[in-house]
Amino acid sequence: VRDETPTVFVVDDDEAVCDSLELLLTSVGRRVETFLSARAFLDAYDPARPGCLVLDVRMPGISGLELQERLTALDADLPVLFVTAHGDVPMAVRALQAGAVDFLQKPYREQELLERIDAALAVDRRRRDRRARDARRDRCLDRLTPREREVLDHVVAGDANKVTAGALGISERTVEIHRGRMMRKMEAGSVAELVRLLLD
Amino acid sequence: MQSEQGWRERYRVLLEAAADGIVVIDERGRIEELNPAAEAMFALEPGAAVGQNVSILMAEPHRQHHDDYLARYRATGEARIIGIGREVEGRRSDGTVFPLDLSVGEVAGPGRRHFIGILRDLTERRQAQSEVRRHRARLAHSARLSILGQMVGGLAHEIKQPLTAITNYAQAGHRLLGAGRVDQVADTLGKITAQAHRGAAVLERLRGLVRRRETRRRMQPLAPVLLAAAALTESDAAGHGQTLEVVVPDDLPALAVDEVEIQQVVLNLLHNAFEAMADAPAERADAPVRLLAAVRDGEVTVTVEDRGPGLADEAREALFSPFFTTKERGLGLGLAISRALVEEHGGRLGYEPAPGGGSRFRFVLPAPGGAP
Repeated sequence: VRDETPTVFVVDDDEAVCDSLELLLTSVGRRVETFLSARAFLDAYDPARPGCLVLDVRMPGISGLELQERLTALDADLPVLFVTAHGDVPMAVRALQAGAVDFLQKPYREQELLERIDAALAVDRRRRDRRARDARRDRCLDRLTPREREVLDHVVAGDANKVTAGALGISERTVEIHRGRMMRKMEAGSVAELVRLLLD
Repeated sequence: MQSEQGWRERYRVLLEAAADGIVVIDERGRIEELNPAAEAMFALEPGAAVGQNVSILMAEPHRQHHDDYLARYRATGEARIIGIGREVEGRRSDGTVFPLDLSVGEVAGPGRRHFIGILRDLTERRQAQSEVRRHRARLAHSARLSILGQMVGGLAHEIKQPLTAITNYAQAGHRLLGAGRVDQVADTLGKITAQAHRGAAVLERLRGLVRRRETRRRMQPLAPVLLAAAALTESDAAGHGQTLEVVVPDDLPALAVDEVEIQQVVLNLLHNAFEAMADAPAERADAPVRLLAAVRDGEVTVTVEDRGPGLADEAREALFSPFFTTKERGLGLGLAISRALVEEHGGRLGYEPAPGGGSRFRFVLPAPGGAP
């Protein structure tokens, strides 16, 4: 069973900032891993692991903004919370446009930091749930025969079996059989559940 | 008679159409003609000044001496203004004084002399000039602030890092104390102390940079001066995702320099170089900005080189002129100030294209005692 406890990944070239942040976040019960460079993080990171990234904007080597770009290119949409010691508005705008969830200026208040981290973790959880649901739906849809797929379209459109039978040129009884198989394969207990699975 | 009439008519049309003020006086200073432009300039009712002494149009001291000037000219033929233009002050009918450009010509009529004055109101031009002067003063001030701002920006980053760590440690310490993990609290307090010292050391460096501004040049080894400037741009460079390569020999000679001024020059050149790298062609985008120093015959040459797009020919011409800039938000004073600072040290600052593309700024500081 995969460990689903989210991790706060901290990337900051300042050792004291890394160390102190690790101590602080651990003391409030978060799981933390720190990295002194973007390169070290990229080498260690497994996109399957849930969590969020607390990233310093300015670092030698790969900068924070570049790391964000590389993660996006890797399709690893780990939520990024940027921290910076510079009140650099254009940079903040660039980071947020590139998909960062938030931007904090150093030194930050503990409460502020923890709230933003929790918000980032919530974003990650929602994204992962959504991806898991999408994957399940796609798996279910793949199992349907072409005829079952047609029946599904009519069910979702709200057509009665009789209407579906007429439209597809088959008997109402046959529609019922296809419909039962389709519902089992889609793992849906009711039409409402089926519609939710497809529309979500 | 007919031709005299025609001449007068043309003369009147000319006077009335002229944009400049025109005043015609007789040899005793009595106003014979004053065109509409002049009447407007002096806020006079049409025709009101004709027959009066021209000195009513003048401010002191000429107002009270004008009759004497005319008398002297009549007696000696010695001209002070005729044929020469000059700036004088006019006086409007409401008593206000304004600058005007005056040129005077003499017309010899049958038996009598006339003088023609052509007047141009300089009020607006003067206002524009003083506006430009104020504007320049403002710009020079903000250029100094911007150089200072770059230095402070680098230092602010270095101070905020330990402050951030201290804040984190202190808050973690609170929680550890609450959880009864006293051993860990002691460790954390030690770390807080270390970070506070780190912050203080940064401030000490800042003090070293700006203190005793009035003591100007002193003999000092050049390498530490250059390296301190390089260190200040590090976060600037990292923020642009760029690197700085520094080749400064330890054995650079001691020179009589004002370290703050030399650092300002180096900071400014490095800042420009990093900005240029942001527009570098893709194949050179990863090239470092280079800060090089070398000594020859006691002279020290400092070079800042980027591999950015380089400069167009016309930009090279104007590069060191105040208010010239290729940047959208630049003031165009950085290089002008840098050159002035280098020249105050008896040195020179120049530009050349870097081999293979980019820009190379190089300044030379003379050997002590003014060798080559």
